[in-house]
Amino acid sequence: MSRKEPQIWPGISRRTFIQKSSLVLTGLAVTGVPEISWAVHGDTLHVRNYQDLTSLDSVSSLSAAEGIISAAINQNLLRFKPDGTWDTQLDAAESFEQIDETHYAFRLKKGQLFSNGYGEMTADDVKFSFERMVDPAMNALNRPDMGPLSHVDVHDRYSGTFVLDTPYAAFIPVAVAGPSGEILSRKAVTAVGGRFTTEPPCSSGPYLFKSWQAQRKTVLVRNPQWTGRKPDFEEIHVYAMPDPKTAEMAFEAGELDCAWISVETVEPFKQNMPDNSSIRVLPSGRNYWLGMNQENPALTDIRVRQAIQYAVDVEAVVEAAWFGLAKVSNGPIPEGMVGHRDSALIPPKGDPEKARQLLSEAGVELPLRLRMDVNSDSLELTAVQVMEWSLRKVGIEVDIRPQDNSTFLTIGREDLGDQWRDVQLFMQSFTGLADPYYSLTWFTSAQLGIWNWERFSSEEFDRLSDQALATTDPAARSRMYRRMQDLMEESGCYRFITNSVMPQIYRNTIKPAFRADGYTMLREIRRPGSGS
Amino acid sequence: MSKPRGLIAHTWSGLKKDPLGMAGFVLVSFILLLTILAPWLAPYDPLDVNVHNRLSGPSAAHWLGTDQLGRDILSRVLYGGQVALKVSLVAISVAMAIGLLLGMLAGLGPRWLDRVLVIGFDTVRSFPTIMFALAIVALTGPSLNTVIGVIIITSIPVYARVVRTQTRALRQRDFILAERAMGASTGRILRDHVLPNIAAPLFILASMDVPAVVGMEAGLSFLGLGVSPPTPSWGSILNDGYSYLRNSPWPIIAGGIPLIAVTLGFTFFGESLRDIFDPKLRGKDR
Repeated sequence: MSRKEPQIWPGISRRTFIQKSSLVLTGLAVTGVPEISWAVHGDTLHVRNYQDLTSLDSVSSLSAAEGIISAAINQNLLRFKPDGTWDTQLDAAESFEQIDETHYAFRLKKGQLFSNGYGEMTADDVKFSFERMVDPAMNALNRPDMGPLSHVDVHDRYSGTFVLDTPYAAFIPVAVAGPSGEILSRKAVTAVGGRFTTEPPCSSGPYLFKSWQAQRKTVLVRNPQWTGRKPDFEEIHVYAMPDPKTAEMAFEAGELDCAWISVETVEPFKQNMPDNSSIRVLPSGRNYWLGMNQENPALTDIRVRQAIQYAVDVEAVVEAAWFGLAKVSNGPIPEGMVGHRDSALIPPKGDPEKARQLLSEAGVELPLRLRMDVNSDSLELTAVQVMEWSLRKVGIEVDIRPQDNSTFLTIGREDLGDQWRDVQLFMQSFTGLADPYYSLTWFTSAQLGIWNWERFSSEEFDRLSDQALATTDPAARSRMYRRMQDLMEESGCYRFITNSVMPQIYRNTIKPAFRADGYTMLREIRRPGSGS
Repeated sequence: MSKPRGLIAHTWSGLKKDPLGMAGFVLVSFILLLTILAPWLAPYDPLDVNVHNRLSGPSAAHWLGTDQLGRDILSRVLYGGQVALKVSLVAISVAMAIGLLLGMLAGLGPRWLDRVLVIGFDTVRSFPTIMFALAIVALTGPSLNTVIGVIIITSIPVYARVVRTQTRALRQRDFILAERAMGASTGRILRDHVLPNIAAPLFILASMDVPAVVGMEAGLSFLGLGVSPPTPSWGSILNDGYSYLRNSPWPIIAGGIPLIAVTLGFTFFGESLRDIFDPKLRGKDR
């Protein structure tokens, strides 16, 4: 008996469709889907970024995720060396020198062109880029980076002088070489209304901005007008991948050349390394600590706060959450930076007996119940659970409250209401920059209710913060910053955890480059054997 | 309505004829027993941290291995069952009680009240549960009570709609009309006639709802919207397992198995109950 095949489309029966589509799918499985298959080959570099962009404009950029990209398409007068230190080298500047404590002279290289026909970079563009950062009308989010910068005097087409109101020791590493010091074209930025976000009007770096797809990727292309060493890649694709697990799978699938991975994955990857790949566990500038709001009624007695400091076994926290890859920190200033302390005042393992004694002296009725706010990130949740366990052993019961990042970042802010009064314990983290000023300025009295959620306030600390910023002698600055960290610890408001690490995995088909805080330096990534 | 002894005997006899239903019943009983006896059966304190023994595989000391903090996974799974049991018992009981009341009001009350209540039920049901949970958690913070509250609110319309439909069907039946004609009060009609007739479908619905509620609790905890750490819950065990999957598959396996078992057990058991108490099927049996 014959039976006519049902037609799902004129001339195409169901059976034909299944046969043909199976052939196509088999073909794709063998040859690979085009966009995936060429991911790590050819002239394109594929890199993970830990979050998406909000702005590439220095007055409104928020995070290192944006700095990674803007540093590849823009130039600073000086830039960080790709050797894992905070040392700087000339970038757009032909020369840069400090004249006295408040004056710095620069001379630009000639013939550096902005893209899209915006012409040659001039000293006026430098003046524009720096003065808009301190212009109150611009309300730049990173205004503190510029410190006491007053203005820029332009002498001729290529040279000028920075004028500061007072000495500023962090001027070169933070203001000049940092993301806030990127040089933009006055003509181009003015043409787009004085600000931009994810579509820069032009750029002058080794790569140019080509496109941005929200929550997906940013594409950079080689700048044909670049007069420096030719970039090794025709294109760089930077993927927004907030979840490290996604990045790890993408790397294994051959879709990425370089990715920041989670600490717990380092060992499994080392044991079963994807072909032709390497891992580097780099120091990170991210400082983690347990903060205590000293104005909360439960924590006003310094002995209670000290008891918490002594109760927490930081070694166990770091071992559990960072898998032993990170070191216990002695304060916000990381190793290798001016002001780093060799040891903390409280031993890393803590002292539960002393904690119990302090609680007893304070007359606290046990169990003491406290709330602990934390970002709902698996690493931080692991860390606070070890803290909770440490505290439970001395009679302090902690109610852990995980919150998404955007909510968490508001809990201590005074301008959003009175919720800061209820804050008791919290695990906080912050990424510093190339100068100790940047690691400690957030704990001054001026930051009360902004970033200073511990409500720590010390006249001596504030005075030392100002003095250290105006002091250029490294030894004197170091003494001041070490004393400032002692003051923080003595207040009982802080239990320092770690300065963290940043594990990066990469193909051996590239020669990666990382900043001293572990972030990728896109413009410095080369092919092996292509020279430095 | 059968007397309790007859009801149990009838249920047992029905279960014996349905192997899947019996398997579900055994599975459910086993899980309930393990959960209730967790404090005596768990070999370790589920919150006890031992960092140096983290992410170890199954061994004589730790039958299901340890998690990223070196906590015994078996103990956490057993105690996690208590959370699931508490959430499902409390949430379903409260949702069923409120749903029963509102459903009967809608079914027997005036037409305008019925319309208002039905619009209310549909409004709540039309809101995605996870989005609703996110909004509530943003306001109150994650906790076990928040999870229970969210599940109660989103489950009430399910019960209320069933009760309403049953009540509306019963109100036109001859025996109800006769009771009314003899002057019986609405309360008496509800208590003596409506309630016994809708109890069976309601309990079947509740038993079928248990895996959904357990899954919802686990899902919310997996997303960090449920119980706060370090309280063990099957969802948080799964979440930890996901984060550390490359290091050890055991947390994922250990967190997943009870969820699968509960889902299968209650589904088989619930379906069997439905078949036993469905009047049409019961008629066929005879």
